[in-house]
Amino acid sequence: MVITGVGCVSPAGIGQLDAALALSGTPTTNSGFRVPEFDLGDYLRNARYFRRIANSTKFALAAVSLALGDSNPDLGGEDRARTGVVIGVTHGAMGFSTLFHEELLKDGPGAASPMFFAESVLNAPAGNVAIAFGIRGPVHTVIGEETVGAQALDLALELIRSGAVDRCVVAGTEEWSGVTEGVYRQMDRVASRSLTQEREIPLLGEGAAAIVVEDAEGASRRDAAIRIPVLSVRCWRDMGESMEDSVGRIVREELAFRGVAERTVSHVVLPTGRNRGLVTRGVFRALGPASQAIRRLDIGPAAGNPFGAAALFQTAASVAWLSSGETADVGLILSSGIEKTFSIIFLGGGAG
Amino acid sequence: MTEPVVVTGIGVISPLNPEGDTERFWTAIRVGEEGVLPVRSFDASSYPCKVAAEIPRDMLGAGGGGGAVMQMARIAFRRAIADADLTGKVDPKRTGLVLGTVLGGVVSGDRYLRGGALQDEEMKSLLRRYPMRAIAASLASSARIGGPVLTVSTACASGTDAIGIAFRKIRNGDLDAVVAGGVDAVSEFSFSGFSALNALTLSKVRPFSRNRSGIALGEGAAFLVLERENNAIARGACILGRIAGYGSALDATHLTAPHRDGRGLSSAITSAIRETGVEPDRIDYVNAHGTGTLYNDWMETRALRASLGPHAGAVPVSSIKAVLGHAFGAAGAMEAAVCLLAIRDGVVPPTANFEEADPGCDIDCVPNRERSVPVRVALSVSAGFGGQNGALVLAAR
Repeated sequence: MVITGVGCVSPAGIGQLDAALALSGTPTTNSGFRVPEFDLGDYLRNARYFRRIANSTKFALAAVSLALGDSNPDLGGEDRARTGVVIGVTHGAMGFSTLFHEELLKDGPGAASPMFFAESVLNAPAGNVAIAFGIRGPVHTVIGEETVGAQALDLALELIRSGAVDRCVVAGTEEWSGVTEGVYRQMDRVASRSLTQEREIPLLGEGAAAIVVEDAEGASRRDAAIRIPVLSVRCWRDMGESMEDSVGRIVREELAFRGVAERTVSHVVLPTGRNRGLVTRGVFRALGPASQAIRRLDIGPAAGNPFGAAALFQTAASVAWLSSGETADVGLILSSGIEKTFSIIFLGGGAG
Repeated sequence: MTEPVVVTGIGVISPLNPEGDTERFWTAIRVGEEGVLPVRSFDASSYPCKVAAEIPRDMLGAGGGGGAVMQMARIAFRRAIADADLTGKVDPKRTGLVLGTVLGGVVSGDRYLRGGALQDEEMKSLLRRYPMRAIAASLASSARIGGPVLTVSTACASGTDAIGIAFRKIRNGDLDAVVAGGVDAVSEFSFSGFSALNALTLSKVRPFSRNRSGIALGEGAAFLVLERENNAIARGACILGRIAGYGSALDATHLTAPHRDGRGLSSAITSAIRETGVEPDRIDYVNAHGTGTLYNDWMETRALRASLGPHAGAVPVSSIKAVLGHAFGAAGAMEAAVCLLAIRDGVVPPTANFEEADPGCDIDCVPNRERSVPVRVALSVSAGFGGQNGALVLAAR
């Protein structure tokens, strides 16, 4: 399986590999980790159809458009039904959801806008992506924590492997809302300032990232530019084992199963969520002496903790790093969720 | 590697069986017992529609914490695991959970957003239950499930897709067992939303009737235990049937309205049947999405015509939403359970509240009375917001 397209809408920039590379670069000057205002029409020809949409949908539409532009698959005729979409979300359209509640409370049931309700449904970004690009294959929305992007990628790979589709658009999207920020503050689960240390929990971020995945043979057949292969994805829950031990054990298992030497791991993209310090330590311990040469990429200073978009932001950053020509080695993407869910994604190992 | 996938356990809770007894559920569905009653969980006096199918909150109990939706999920989940006698019989790391839900903990979220006067601790408790992922996490922890835990939200196809995704995970050899299903509860948030969309009936839910006028909200939870066949045989489990095929496809036309010709649903059904390797005329029963809205029932009839051909006019097709309302994320899982029970007993349940045939719904919708029919292969279909469509083929072992 290979990645043939990347699109990013983040506080650090909007674009393809350039924007993905910026995620692991200098910290954003936007202290609230918000995506700058942009015109969807710059990224989508039929943007007029999507005038009244939630930010989580807007970000997803732009990111998917950029990823499809990068990958350039044929989405005409039968290919529409042979393309799938899997989108990972944590909170969804909290802005519209809150507005719907406010209208309901203030003016009663007759005044509540059906549009706010319809756009509040968590599969709205996926449905709108399918409408915008005429995709008629399986379209799924996965709900989870910071690891949900890895779960979405895992499901997409399964759809391709099972023969249900030839390719899949995988995205993660999240919008900032005052309610969400307030909720996590009440639960003491976001920091009061920007990320500066490994152990800190970053501020809430927002944005969307999308990739196009397909089997290598199909990509070669249509002469697609292969960005990077996907070696493996593993998602799991804490089962009482120490976090450091479990993540270390699973990283070692995956490396052994794929026949990948520790020394070929060129970088690790650090988690954005809770327990990031523990998880990171477990992985570096598992990588042994090789870990000293491994670069740590952190999207936290540029993007905060974008929850549903986190793992896809991390994946995009790793793709950009591996594609930058400095190395043809392996990238490891680590995610940890607020409720003790974990995921690892291995990318690279030679183009194609 | 493709592994045959069997079902070894069913757990259902609905307004017709608030205690979670599956046989009680099945009996009530077969006789067309009315579950849609005046709304009790909130004050609906200011809405044009005043009915929904609800589980009395006092019957759910408060044990173990969590709101109504969490309790529903817990009851059905435990029943399914007990029915399959799964505890201690499978490798936790090779066992997964796939949950479908549309609204998740929105009842808690609704209270949070309204609850300016609530005490801080109560607020925090509501917040913990609000995220949709919280339900699956809690269920997985309670059963010590150590494999993948996934929450899917594909609108009203969520329950069907959850089972379909679980089916694929076992068939591909990734897992030995998966507990899969769906849950949703009636809330004022969803009630007001569907009211704003003018989708709620002002009388009864009458799928496929000419005088149908919309949906009633419903609630509940349903789970199936899916297992690798060899695994189930080896541990001596009682096999209730097989999941033989699954298909999913999008309309890609409109966020809230179905494609008029059922393009996506037809494609999902065709994919699911193709996966089984049987001809469409081998389908003995169809459990329809059958919401009772004008456009859904027309669309669904056309989709069945397109995918089953002439057989669409002969096969019995029924909707249980007439008595259960629309339980959103739970609906597809409840309907898959009904298909397995129809296979077991050779009985197809009726479409209750049917009054007058609609020429646009020219199918045999099993009006008002159950029918004895040998069922070897059943089709369960779902459709929803976002143009989502899912189809499962269930078969006798």
